[in-house]
Amino acid sequence: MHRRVLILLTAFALGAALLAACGGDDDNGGANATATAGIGSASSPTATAAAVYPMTVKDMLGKDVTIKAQPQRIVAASPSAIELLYAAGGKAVARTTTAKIPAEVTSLPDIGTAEKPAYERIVQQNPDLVLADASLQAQFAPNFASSLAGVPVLFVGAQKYDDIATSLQLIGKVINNPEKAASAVKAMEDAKTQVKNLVSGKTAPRTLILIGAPNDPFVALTDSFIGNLAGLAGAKNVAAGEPQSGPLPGYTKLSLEKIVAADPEVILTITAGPPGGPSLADGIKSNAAYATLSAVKNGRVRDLDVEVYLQSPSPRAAQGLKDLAALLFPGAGASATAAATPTATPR
Amino acid sequence: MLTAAPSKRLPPVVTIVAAGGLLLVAMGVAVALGSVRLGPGQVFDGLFDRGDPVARQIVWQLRVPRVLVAALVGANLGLAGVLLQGITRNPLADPHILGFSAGAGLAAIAVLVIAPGTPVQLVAPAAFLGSLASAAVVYALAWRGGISPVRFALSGVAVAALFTALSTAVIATSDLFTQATLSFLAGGLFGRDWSHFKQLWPYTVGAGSLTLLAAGWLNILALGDDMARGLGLRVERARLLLAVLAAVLTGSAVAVSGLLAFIGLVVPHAARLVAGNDYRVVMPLAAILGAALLVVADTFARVALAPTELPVGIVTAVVGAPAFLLLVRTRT
Repeated sequence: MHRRVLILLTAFALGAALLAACGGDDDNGGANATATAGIGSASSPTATAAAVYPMTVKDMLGKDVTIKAQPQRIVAASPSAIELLYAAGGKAVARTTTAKIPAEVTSLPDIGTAEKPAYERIVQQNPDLVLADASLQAQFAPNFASSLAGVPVLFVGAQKYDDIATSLQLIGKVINNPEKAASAVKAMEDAKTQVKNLVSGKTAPRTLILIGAPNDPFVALTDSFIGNLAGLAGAKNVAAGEPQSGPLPGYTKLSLEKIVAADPEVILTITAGPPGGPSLADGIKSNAAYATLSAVKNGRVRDLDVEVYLQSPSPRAAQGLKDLAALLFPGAGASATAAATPTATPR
Repeated sequence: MLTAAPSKRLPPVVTIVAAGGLLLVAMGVAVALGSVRLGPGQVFDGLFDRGDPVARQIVWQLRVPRVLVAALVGANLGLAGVLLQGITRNPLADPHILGFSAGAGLAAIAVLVIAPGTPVQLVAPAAFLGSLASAAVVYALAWRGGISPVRFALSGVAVAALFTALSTAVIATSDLFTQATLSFLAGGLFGRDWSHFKQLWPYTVGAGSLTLLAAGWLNILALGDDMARGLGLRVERARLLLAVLAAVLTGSAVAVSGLLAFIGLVVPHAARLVAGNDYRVVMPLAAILGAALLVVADTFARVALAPTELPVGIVTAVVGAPAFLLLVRTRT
């Protein structure tokens, strides 16, 4: 599990790094060829007009992708992609090894992990649309293209909260189910508005977000996915403005001295470790070096769900956002009880 | 060390033909197996890029190029290992230990860190140049009016350590260390396709044939520098050309597969154990055995836990070490 999370984190790095590269990379066949072959007018993912095929859309990597006809056999190549697809009213014909939401996907054929998809298995499904993960799989664009000659590959996913709605709209458009997608988008927007109203005018708590293994955690900056969510939920990130350092874009290393000086009132942790193992939050609470921090003294060190807040950005982030706000502002309104929901249970 | 009775050996032609047959069988099995089960007819049709479109796509676009790339990389590393062990007259020399791979790794990492947006396709030429550059450094350091094999080996070990340390330092201090860097360091053939084959085969064919032609020089060098000079060989020039060939073979392979240890070290010994000390036989045999080892290991890596893949470097050692030990115990 630890390794997987690290892979995910580094893949995030790659996703960012390869954005430009993939845009200019003109390989034979595949997504690029089909992207230029279409006659449909390019339009932004936010358009919700009734679908006319062939249609050309811009995916989350900024590439034009042409869909020739309404997709019937969709392969979603990451847990995040499959959640987004079902939330937008679609169905997949195959799933990745670890995908388990919604529960019905677990009975679908397995195409391997998102980090190392078995292209043979994807081809075997004879897909007419592949949803790839913009964060994890941008580096695989040439492989998707060469193994799936002519099949459109649409990169979806999220580096920040609003990207989830954009991905939902994009998927709803290409599968011709804009209504379902729109209601899912509305849930995302509603949660955001509700949280915004909840936290407005309140003093933002100084918040430290740690991620990784207990002995060597990274600190999330404001432009990481969890950093973005925490910001929306009213946190004042104590690492805001710090330069990124270490291997992961959106994350940094912060010396213990700086952390002590910043004296966070809340510490949010995401544990990268085997399920059932010790959580990063427990590690922080039992570490004498952190004992003087307000967050530790006041019992405000909370472990967050690794899927919702890190691995698998999805519509579940709407509830995740509300839970975060409730954690940051206990007693502020009805949703305070949401802290007890599964997305943010103490481990 | 290598004193097995020549009388037990098969004639060279028979050995090479048998090994070639073994390689073909291994490649056939490799193409037939994968995370999707295909019938023999589907695989056969796929080999001719015809028949059922799904099977054809799987066989022709995914399996065939990957198996071919595995064979080429294995052959390159096997040949480079024989060359370097011959040049240094050191049984523990190989492209990894002598710093040729480390140079390729450092160059690739430097490119990925300095220009993070660089497409993977441009990392390969950098790795190739890095291998040549590190070979040049090793050669220059070993030169003192001539190359002594021992100095060459020791310079190589030092350069390998230095370049590996620099790679680690670059990674540790950089703002970005990507999945690409990591998978390059680990080595492997995941996702390799026709573009990689097209990139690699000219080097294998070109440098490989020159290496086979130059096998006679290694036979003479094996007698020692004085004897070689007495026989009319221009020792320094021969050694330089052989080192360049080793660097080209290593660099082109590493550029495609990342850093794969073990093959370049072990395959030359296996070839010598089977074929004796005549490099004209050892050389082609090492190419074939290297190819076969990597094809078998990569197939195992693809199939064992399908649809998940194992790192091929681990499988190479797990498959290769027992086979090698068996050979050592039965033939020496």
